[in-house]
Amino acid sequence: MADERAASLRAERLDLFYGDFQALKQVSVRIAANRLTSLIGPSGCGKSTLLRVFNRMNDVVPGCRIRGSVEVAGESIYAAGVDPSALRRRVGMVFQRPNPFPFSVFENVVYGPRIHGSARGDELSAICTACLKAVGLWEELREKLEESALELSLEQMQRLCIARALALQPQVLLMDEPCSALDPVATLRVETLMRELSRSYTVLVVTHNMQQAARISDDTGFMLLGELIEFGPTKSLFTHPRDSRTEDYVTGRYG
Amino acid sequence: MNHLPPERPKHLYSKLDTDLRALKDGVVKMGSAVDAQVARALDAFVKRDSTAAAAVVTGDKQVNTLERELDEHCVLVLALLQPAASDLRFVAAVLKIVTDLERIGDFAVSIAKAVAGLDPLRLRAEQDLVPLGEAAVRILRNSLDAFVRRDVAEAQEACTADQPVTAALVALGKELRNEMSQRPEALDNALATLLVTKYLERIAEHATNIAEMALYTERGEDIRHIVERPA
Repeated sequence: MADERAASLRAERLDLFYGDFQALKQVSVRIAANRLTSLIGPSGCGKSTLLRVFNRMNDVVPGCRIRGSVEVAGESIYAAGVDPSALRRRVGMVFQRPNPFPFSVFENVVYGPRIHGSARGDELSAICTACLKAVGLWEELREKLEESALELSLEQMQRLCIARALALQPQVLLMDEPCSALDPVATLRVETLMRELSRSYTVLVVTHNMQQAARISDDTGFMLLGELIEFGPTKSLFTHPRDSRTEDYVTGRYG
Repeated sequence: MNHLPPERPKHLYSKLDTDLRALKDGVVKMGSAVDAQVARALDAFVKRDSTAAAAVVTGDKQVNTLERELDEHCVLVLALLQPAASDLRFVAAVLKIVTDLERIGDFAVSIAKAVAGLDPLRLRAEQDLVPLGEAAVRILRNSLDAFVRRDVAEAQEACTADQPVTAALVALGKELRNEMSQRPEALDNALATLLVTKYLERIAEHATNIAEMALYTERGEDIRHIVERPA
């Protein structure tokens, strides 16, 4: 079934616990490949936790355990023998605060391929150029590759972090509030980049900004108290949601 | 009214509640103004009262002003408060409803203007004109009521309520054409009355559009042009 192949990320009856606290409850979702999907919901609803399930970032949280199945491109990622760092190569992540390493622009972009030993010498230069082009930084930074990444503007830093994730040629990009540290103009530019990236990558974004979810995503999921209340095409979710809890949240009645 | 949907919780940002309520009140106000215009125009028509007819023409200014104000307010709410889901559908519906109301107001003016060409001669068919006009206005009233009270059942009923009215108006048209062929002296009045039946048909259609918008607002479904209607 074509639909089956198109599901890039998949969770089935997923429960996640931090110690005694259940952060995700029976979440079942299929995130389509090469689309941009947003997760919205109030703080503490589990959206970041769900995002981090897909590259096993929650593994590092003590007392975290899961029940249910999670697949990336049809492969179960919590099965025995799965190497989390190999998984994270395929499922890249971008965080809320831009977090470049205290190295040069060049070393930031090629950091992944260099430590994984997947490229060297001229190959690294080619990767750096391609990734900076992909995030729209090449023209600005081609003469500044050896300068420290910490000297960049916040928007440039965030683009650089996206370029760094792309350098490992991932299939999936997870983005946790990627624009919350940016000003409105930088936000719109990064949103445009996210739309472009969603043509080649599966992009899953957590955002507090409902207008951002409405603007950029193909599909949107609304979460509340650890449950995925509603998931579907963004245009339906913001014009006639099926669930009254979604309705209350998107119309600003949630209290 | 236990079939009505439950009250929704208030918005966290109360200005949205205030503005949506103001839009609702504005629609009610414009609706009553239009409703009164149609009634006055028909009354002027059957009484051959050119003074009352002139008042209808002047009264249209108020309707047009209300349309502009409501349009502007909707655009502001969309731009500044970014309503979503049922709130968004409500504002979109108000934008469309005011256009229907404004058109109904224009038909009231057309009826009033037809008074000028009438002579004192009475036609039998005129007796039916007022009740049919009242029936058309009733659809308008029910549609607006359904919109304001979020009453799906009433909206559904109003959606097709124009059909018997239209059928009666068409029958009246036939009668008028007969009268024209039998009494040449009645030709001018019969032609004017025939026009008024057409205006009333259009008024009833615009009124059902409003009922369709009431349904859309409540259920998120656009039912326009789905059911084939008799031509």
